[in-house]
Amino acid sequence: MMLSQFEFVLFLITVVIVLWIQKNNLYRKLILLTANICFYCYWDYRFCLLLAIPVFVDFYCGRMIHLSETRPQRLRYLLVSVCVNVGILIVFKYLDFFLESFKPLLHAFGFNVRSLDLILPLGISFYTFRTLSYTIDSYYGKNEPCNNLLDYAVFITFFPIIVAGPISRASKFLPQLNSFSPGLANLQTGTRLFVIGLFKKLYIADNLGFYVDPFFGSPLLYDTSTAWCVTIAYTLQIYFDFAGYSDIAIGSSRIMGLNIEENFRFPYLATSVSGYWKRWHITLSNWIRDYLYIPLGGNRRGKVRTYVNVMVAMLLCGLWHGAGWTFVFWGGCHGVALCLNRMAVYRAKAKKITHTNSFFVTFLKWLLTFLFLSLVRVPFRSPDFKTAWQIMGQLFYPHSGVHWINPFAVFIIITTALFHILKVYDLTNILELPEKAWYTPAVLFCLAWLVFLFYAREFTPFIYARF
Amino acid sequence: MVSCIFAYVVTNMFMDRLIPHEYDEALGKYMYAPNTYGRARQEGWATTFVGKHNTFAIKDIDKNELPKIAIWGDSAVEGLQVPDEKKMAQQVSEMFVQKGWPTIGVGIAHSANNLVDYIVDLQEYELLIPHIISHYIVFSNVEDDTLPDRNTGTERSRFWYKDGFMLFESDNRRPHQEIHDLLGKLNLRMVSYFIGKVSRYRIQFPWNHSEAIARTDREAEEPPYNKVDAWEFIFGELRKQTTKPITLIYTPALPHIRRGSIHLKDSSQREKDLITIAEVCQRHSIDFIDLTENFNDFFLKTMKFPRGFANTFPGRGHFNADGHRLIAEAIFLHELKRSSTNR
Repeated sequence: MMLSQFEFVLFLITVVIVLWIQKNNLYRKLILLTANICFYCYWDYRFCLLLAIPVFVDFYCGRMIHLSETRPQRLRYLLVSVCVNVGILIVFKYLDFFLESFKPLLHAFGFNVRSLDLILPLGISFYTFRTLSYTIDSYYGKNEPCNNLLDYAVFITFFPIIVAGPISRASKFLPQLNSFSPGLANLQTGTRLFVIGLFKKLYIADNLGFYVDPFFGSPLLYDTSTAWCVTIAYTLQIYFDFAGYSDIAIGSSRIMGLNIEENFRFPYLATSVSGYWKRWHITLSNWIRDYLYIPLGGNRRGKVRTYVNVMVAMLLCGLWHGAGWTFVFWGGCHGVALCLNRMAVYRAKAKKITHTNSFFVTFLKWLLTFLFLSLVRVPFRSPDFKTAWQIMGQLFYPHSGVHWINPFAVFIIITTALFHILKVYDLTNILELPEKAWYTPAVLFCLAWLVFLFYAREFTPFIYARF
Repeated sequence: MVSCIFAYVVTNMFMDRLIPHEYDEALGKYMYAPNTYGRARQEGWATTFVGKHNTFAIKDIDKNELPKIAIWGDSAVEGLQVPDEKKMAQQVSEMFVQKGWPTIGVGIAHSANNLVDYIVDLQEYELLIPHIISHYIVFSNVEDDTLPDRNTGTERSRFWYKDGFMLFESDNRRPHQEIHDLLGKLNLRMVSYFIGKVSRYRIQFPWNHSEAIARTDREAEEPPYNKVDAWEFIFGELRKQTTKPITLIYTPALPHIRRGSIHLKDSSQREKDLITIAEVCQRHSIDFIDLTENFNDFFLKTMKFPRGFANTFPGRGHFNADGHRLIAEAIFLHELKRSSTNR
């Protein structure tokens, strides 16, 4: 059951009604946990047991970290938590990838290996990061200990965010469980986000997918202009798909009375790659910053070490997205761009250069950033390097083939560009549908109508749900 | 109110429109309501005038005294996806005008029509529409359009097989006719302007598209009867209906993109079937034109497909304006060749 499916809407309505009727907070949490388990079982009941492991292990480790008096003791429990969670993640997500990648080497040493073909558990990358953030924060004393297993289980298994985030922090989520209720105000705010999310996913992203997917299946059949149009369309598709998912997840949580951190802030307005990571998948970039980049030393240990830390963080970020070298390459490209960005900052500081923010310079920076983001999406989306290389060749070397410029994709590209231009000049207030505005319900109805009329003919899962 | 206006405008600008059906006294069955408009938005972008007796882009065909070439077919001939002037029948008329021969092409079609429908219709239409000089039947699917029981979409006439071949006729009352009639009775026909043509799949649970593609790619199963016998029966019946020349035009779904490559050939079984069909046609004095080569040549020269639109997948679906032109050219040239001696 994906968040954009009709089944989910029925499921959410049922859960909200039951939560609304029940006034006792303990029972509400029990209802929520039951709903979480049902949601996960609907996908595959066998993996519920796997999901139970981090719940019990990290709840126990978290408590023991708080009860431990010495640092080595705390470290021991932290290591247990990290090993268990990362171990599960490696086995289910990366083992086959590593076995395949190093097959010749292993053969040379006499190991006869073959793929295990394990099913990737739903949301494993996301819930692993959430549960790790709890134990790591506990180790550094950044959060209060969770004394209630029920609360912790609800946090880890919370159904709107288990599939693809946002990677909510325990320190933000757990205190809300002491008192939460679906009210009319929450219903209004949540529904607004939910409908906007559905619109982004079902109307925009899925219909763009109809254009993008066939191209990536056989790119050499198409001409250069089609390749450019598809590349930009995919850059928008992945944004609308993931931002749509996040809006639905945040909206669903809000309807139930729980607040989840925002995940996107107009990422394609960024004028640098570092700016982009402050706007795109914010909860993941914050996680990588707090639990990977800073513990590695961040920018406190000299320039070279900073570049190394950035590269390590981004390569792992790429690997987190998928068990494939194309994802690692994508992460590496972002790492290089971030290093270059940082180099420019160091240089400017050393030469005491003050940046001029003229329109032309800002536009040029934006254009370069957007082109970079679009081009590195090519290997991200391609099944292998060969295909990615072919598409790159097509983009920069005139190639004849089938010409297919989809009018819907062009419409979305132009409309998104206009919306972003309005945002630059702070004129999007009306378009962002403020909660109290009189026209918001009418526009939401129109968006829901468009979703109903134009949702894609085939079911398309969320792109990030497979990570 | 704002939402309603929006829904009305969006539906009327961007949604297909369902063409209502009305009982046609002359033909004794339900046909597209004459003098209405069909609107295609999700495949192609066009508005089509629907004339009398399922004719397209032409008004009062029964009052027109010029010689006519009847072009029969299913949704391919309807051509709702292309503007009226680009439809094959209109392009045929244009070619004859340029040639200086006053002859017009008339597209007579209904979505999901089958060869068997023309057996029932040829005679009736020759009485209704004056001066038909020849018939062209356009078909795209060797199995579904010619064999008994294959095309389940048609509600008009059926070619049946049960211990022998037989035909039966219905009044073509469409499944949605009841809804349409009810809306009319309640003075609520306006409702249809808000929902456009919301097809069945839009209110279904998501379905597996790859399975559907696999289904269309699959070779048709061999029927429990001899296919040659079926074609002998159907072409024989067809020939009995008229003394005017009949030409069958095969318009394959080629070239198309499948599994990452461009296919220019039908399956070997289908190619064999086409040879058989051509032979059966010859035995019944029916001309047969296979447009496979024309379509492939056009693609290889221009890298454009005869089917598909910018808003759909290239090479799949209905004919675009180029496809209609290629068929029109084939009809025009064949008609020139055939009738130049007679004129």
